[in-house]
Amino acid sequence: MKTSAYMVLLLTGLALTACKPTPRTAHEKHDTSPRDTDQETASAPATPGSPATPNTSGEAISPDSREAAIQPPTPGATGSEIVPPGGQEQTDTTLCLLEVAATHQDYNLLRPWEKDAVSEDRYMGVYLGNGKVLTYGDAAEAATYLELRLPDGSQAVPAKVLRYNKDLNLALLTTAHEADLSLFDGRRPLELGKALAVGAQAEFLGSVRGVSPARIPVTVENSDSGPDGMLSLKLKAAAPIPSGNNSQGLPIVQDGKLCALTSDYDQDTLTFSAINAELIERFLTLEHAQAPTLGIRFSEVDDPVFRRYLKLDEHQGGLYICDVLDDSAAQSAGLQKGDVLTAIDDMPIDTQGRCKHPLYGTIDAASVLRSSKPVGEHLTLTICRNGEQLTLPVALNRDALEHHLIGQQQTGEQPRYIVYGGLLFQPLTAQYLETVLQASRGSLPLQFLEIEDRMPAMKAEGRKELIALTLVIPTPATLSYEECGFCLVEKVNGQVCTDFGQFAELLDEPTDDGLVTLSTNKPPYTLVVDRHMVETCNKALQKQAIPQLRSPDVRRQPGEAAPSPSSGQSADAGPANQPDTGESAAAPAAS
Amino acid sequence: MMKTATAVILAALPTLANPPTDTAPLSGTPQIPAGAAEAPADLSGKAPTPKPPIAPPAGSPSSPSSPSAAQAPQPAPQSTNPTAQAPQEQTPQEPSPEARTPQGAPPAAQAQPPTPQTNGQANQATPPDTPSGDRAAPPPESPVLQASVAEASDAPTSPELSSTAAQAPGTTDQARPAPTASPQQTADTGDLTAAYRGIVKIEVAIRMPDYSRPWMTGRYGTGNGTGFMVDKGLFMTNAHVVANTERIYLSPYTDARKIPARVKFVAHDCDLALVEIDDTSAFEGVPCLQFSDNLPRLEDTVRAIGYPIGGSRLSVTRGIVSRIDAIPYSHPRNEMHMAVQIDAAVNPGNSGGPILMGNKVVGVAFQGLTNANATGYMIPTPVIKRFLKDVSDGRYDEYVDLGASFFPLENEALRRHYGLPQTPVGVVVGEVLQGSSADGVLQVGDVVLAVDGLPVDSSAMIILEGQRVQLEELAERAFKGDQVTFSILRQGEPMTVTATLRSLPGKDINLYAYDRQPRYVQFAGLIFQPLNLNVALAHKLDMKNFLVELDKFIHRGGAVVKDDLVIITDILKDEVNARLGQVTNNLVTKVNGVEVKGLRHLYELLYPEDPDARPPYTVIELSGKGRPIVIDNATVESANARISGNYGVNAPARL
Repeated sequence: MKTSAYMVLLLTGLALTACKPTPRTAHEKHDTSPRDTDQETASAPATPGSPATPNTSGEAISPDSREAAIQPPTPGATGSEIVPPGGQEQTDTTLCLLEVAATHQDYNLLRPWEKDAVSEDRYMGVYLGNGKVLTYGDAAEAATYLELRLPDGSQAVPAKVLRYNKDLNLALLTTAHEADLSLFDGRRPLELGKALAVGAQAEFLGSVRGVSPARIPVTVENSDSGPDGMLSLKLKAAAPIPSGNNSQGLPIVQDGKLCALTSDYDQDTLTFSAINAELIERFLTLEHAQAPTLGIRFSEVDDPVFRRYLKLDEHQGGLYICDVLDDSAAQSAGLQKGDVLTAIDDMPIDTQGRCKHPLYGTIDAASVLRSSKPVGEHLTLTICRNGEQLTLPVALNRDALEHHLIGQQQTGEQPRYIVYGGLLFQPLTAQYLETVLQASRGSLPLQFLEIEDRMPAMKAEGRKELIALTLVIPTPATLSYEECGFCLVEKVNGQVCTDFGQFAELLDEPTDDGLVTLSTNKPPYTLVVDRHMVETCNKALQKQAIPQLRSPDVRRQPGEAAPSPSSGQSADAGPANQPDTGESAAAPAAS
Repeated sequence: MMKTATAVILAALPTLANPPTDTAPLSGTPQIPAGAAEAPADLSGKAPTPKPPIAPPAGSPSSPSSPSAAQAPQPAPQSTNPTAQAPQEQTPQEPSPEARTPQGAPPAAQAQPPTPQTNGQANQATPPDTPSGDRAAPPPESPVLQASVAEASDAPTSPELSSTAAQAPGTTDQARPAPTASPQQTADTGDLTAAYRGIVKIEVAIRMPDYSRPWMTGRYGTGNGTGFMVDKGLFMTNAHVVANTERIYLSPYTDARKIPARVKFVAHDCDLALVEIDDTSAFEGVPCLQFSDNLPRLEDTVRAIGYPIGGSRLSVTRGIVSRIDAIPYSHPRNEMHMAVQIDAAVNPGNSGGPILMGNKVVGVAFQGLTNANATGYMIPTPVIKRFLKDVSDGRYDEYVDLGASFFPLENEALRRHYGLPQTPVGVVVGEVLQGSSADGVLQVGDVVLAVDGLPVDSSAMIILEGQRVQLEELAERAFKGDQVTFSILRQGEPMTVTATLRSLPGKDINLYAYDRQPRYVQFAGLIFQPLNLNVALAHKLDMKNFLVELDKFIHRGGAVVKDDLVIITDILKDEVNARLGQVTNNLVTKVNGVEVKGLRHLYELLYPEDPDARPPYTVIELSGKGRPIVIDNATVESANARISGNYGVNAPARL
């Protein structure tokens, strides 16, 4: 298991740590004062006004300032104080809430021409003003239909995604039709407040079955790394949450301003997971606030013998760099295998691989790398190499993922594929491998496992993507090839396949004898099909079972298009589209 | 949907187990000529099947009875045939390696799809070609047989005996009288029981090594099985009956004596063994059992004879031949050979007992299925005879492997690619394993048209002795050092290449090992063991976790340059290793920068002759790109001593 699990990690690109954004306002304070308490004071500055500021990207992401103005005056810097429930304004808290109903359906990666089962989920959303609703990111993932509803169910309208960030797991919605904007009449927008720190007190805003207000005091108990390595707050509620609140997308409020958005709730322990305001602000401010991927594998230095061997000081901690991926941000910055990462932006890493973060307290360094700043910014890494201390600035990017031969399949995006006389070809992606892994209960075919060792050689051949023969549908053209699936297609008619578009061209290129010769990495290594036979079989397949033999964008240059978030998507995306902004990154692989 | 997908994937996943069978799937299932119309008579007429019949391992130096026997397995006279049915029964027992007391099912059996190599189930029509050519076929005098026969006839204690004896001589030598008739005469008559006197109960004391704590003694236990006399003082049984034994006693049918015995030859890969005794007095005048020359046919009636489930009296069950096919042998695991399925009850304790048809042995009962009713399996005579011939030089050499896989050339486009006509002839070499018999002989992409002069059809089948079988069957019948000649087209050029057969280096890693003590090295509380099936099962590791490494080792020549893949299986907690974290189940790649070639090499690296020569730290690198293990050598000597005492590890290593 180890190997395979490990492999998967690797394949999904996880191993790379990434960094996450710290909101502009917040990050200045990190400097040296890791204490949560200090920060409150220190950090206070920007907050009140900040929500309004982040409107860099045109699409009116920020809550409407006018609406904000309507809000009760915020106490400002003292925000962290306990607000007695109900002590604030007597306004109806349900007025800032909306329910989001989402229907999801993703593609089936094993049969990429079709989609999997439909699922429906409900989330809560927070009205930010100006027709915009902030909700938990999952709502937008692979969504086929979205609806915004008033909490009491009295009105519901179709919705669309304005912005979606998979890394931050946030989505911004509005009504699909302008005429429906009247839904928001009488709603009260929430203004974005300042980020919460461990120990802070705030308030949960919800409703009792959608009709009456509910506010419950919450305390930030600690923090955690989310499933994909992003920082997340843990908040303890003072009382059970009344029914009628979906646990994802509820507002946590301090001084009447939005400080966090819930991502989970555990009934037994009355504990919320929540996305902090700094990340919300980053989401609202930056169109593509993706989490970076450094491209390192690391392990802790808990072992004192190991620390001595690495020439670290007696109690000095850090992360031992086990591997640096080619073409990654870490490699560009000069990080090497064997280095020990001892501090991130001057936050020292302890022997357990944790940092003391001003907001989040003691937290995995991996999460800090991944979530403290978004792509495009810099982190300063302090390393110990052979006993010497070095400082390396790292430009944060996702090169480790984007330059990886194993690509990333965006959720909800049509996978690229070609059905060719019964042979199914797909670009190899981490998500496809994961699907196979699950379907086969934990083992991948050798032909996929061996890729890791061959990676440098394959890059040297100019490959940007790997083409896999993923399924052999029995047809006259594939006679006796039934067991030849689950392998790589290395060459077509003797020419190396460098990416899926080029592969498609090679397939279509006429040959003298009418035969197409595929070189694979699985015995018997050579498969040959006859072009005429393929055409005949294609017709039959199309008629019987597979209406579309090629995905529409077969020639798309995957290297660029796929991994980068589509920028334009937001504004005009219909309800069914989801922007593919962030990517999943995966959890850092520490050993 | 998900389900389908799963199925597909699983099907496509490589089965480590039998690399060479890759090509198998397409080729049809074995065909079993149900009719078996060929008259047995013909066969008998032709008399001589070249293969050595029963020949007991005559060659074996020590075999008391006959030096002469050694050389020759004689062509056994074919026995008469099968038309007549003899009642038979068999008791299968499962060789479960760990506990050999009666228990249920053979583990491996259900797992793998049987590879379709059928050898004939019916009599082979064409006896004359000996597949395994070179093992010189000894002249047709079977000393052994004769001897036994003689004895039998000398001392016909009972009427039954005499009849058997009488019959025996006839059979032994060349020409057998018309087969059809004879069997019938004997069937169901008291005579048959004469053979019972050569059937013994085998009681063993065993010690099962503990691969999970390899320094330990292991568990003691007992077991029993059945054996039958094939030569004077020499008894055949299953390898799993005598595997890991500390003591063996035989008890004859007729009396209560317990006669000490020892293993003379054991073939774990085909689950057969020969045990010998010094004191043959209990068997004076007892005839040896004789093997049939032919496979039984479907529906032939057979009897299984043995001492199942604890009884001290002989048990006989009867059934018919249900199927003949290659199946996984559960004793070695991951080995497939031909086996005959019968519906007679075969129970633990039956193992090693003869399956009789008439008064001839047609097989050795060896395993059953727990999850199916009325399925017992016997090892048929072709496998038995191969074993006997293999040991005739005094040593068991194991099965050989071609080391190549063959891909069917049924696809029209593929045939055109290789410039072949659209006739169903020829297969393409799909894989050549490094270090194997085919390495340097065949190349991927060679088109094989004939093997040893036998045409190969496009589904990789050949006609061998009248049976349509998988090409790999050639290796199944061959011996170490035999040569196989391939007529091939390489890049369109016709040529002939010859491979000298041997076992695939590294294949043992995937076979369950017996009669050995587990090997290990202990260093700083880390337990290192060679990765193999025993270790994987003991530690509940899935060999699939090491697919890439195993592929390199077994298929890509790794075994040629390395002795073992070494894995850390356990960590005995101590202050020297307390903070190492999760390091078990990882393969060891390097120690202090030196690539580890095997367990012994690892030991030499970890325990240099001069301990002071060690660097300040021992750095052990693992596969999987984690951090290295670093041990402070200043403290390791005392730690090793402490760990040895605290955990009862008496020796730092067993290599």
